[in-house]
Amino acid sequence: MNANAIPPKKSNARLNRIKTASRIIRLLNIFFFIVGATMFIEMLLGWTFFFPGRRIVISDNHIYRLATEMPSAIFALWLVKNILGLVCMVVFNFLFRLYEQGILFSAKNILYLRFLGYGLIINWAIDYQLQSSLHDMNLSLTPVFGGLLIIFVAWIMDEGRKIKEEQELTV
Amino acid sequence: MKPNLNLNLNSVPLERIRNISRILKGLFLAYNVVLTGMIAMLFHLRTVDSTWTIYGVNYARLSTIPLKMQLLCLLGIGLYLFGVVTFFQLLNFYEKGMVFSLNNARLYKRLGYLVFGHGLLSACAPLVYSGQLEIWTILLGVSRSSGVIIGLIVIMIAAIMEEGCKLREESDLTV
Repeated sequence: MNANAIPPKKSNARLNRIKTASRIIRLLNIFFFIVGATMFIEMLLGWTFFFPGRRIVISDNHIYRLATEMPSAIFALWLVKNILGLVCMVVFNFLFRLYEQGILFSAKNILYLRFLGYGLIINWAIDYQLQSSLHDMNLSLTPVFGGLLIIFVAWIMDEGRKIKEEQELTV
Repeated sequence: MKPNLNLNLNSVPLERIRNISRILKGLFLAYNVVLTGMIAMLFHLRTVDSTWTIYGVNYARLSTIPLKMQLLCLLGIGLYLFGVVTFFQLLNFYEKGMVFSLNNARLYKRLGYLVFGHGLLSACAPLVYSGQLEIWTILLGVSRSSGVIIGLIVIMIAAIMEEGCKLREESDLTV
């Protein structure tokens, strides 16, 4: 071993820190997924078991008590938006499961990151469509920039991974 | 500063990263110049009798915006400008061919904190205005703020990148 080399104990400690943090984030995500999915099903079916006071906020002046109160076009968009949100949470869980397993820069990580970036942008586009059709617009561009930033990070990571693979194949 | 970690500086993907970074820098600069121009024009055209919207609160005139909201607005602009500078620094690193370095990861972390801070500010500013600054109203506002959630995701990714870079540096030093 090189005289300047850092002992493997330190590396393991770092990897363990990533794994522990990822596990906590994943558990939190599972909790929020359960809450979100329950709320979504309740709103969809008009039940009031767990969240009797909940409201569906589409925009500042368009707040509904039940999904059936919405016009059909708004309802369809709201449905797509919620399903997309839940799918994104599942993908987020997959991503952090990889981190938990110590896989930090694989093709799968990049795929999941990219999915989350596109998810944010599509979600914003649905919000835009919802609010513009109700003529009640109050949207921020932050999700679009955030989504673009995440896609950019994923792309950089993918290119870096390709370079590494290229070099590993070079003798 | 360590230039890069075991990357061939003439490879095609690296050249692509450099080109895209250069293009992004140009686009981002143009966007900010246009944005600044639009804000300047807005100030020029709407000085007296127009409605102003600051953090979701409408004001009849510029002079009616309270001092605390003006200060929060300035803070938001400061955070945005710091974010712009950080993003430019990041693109500069990519342009130089530094793809996976600790400096990049730290810049991502800073960017994440700035997005988080901006999201927090956007969520809390209307509460400051209405005087409803309580723990529950803050939590409700924060849970709805996309900036806070995106900021947290970027901070987490940056932390993982940082740890990954440290791990790889260590493995590169090990013979």
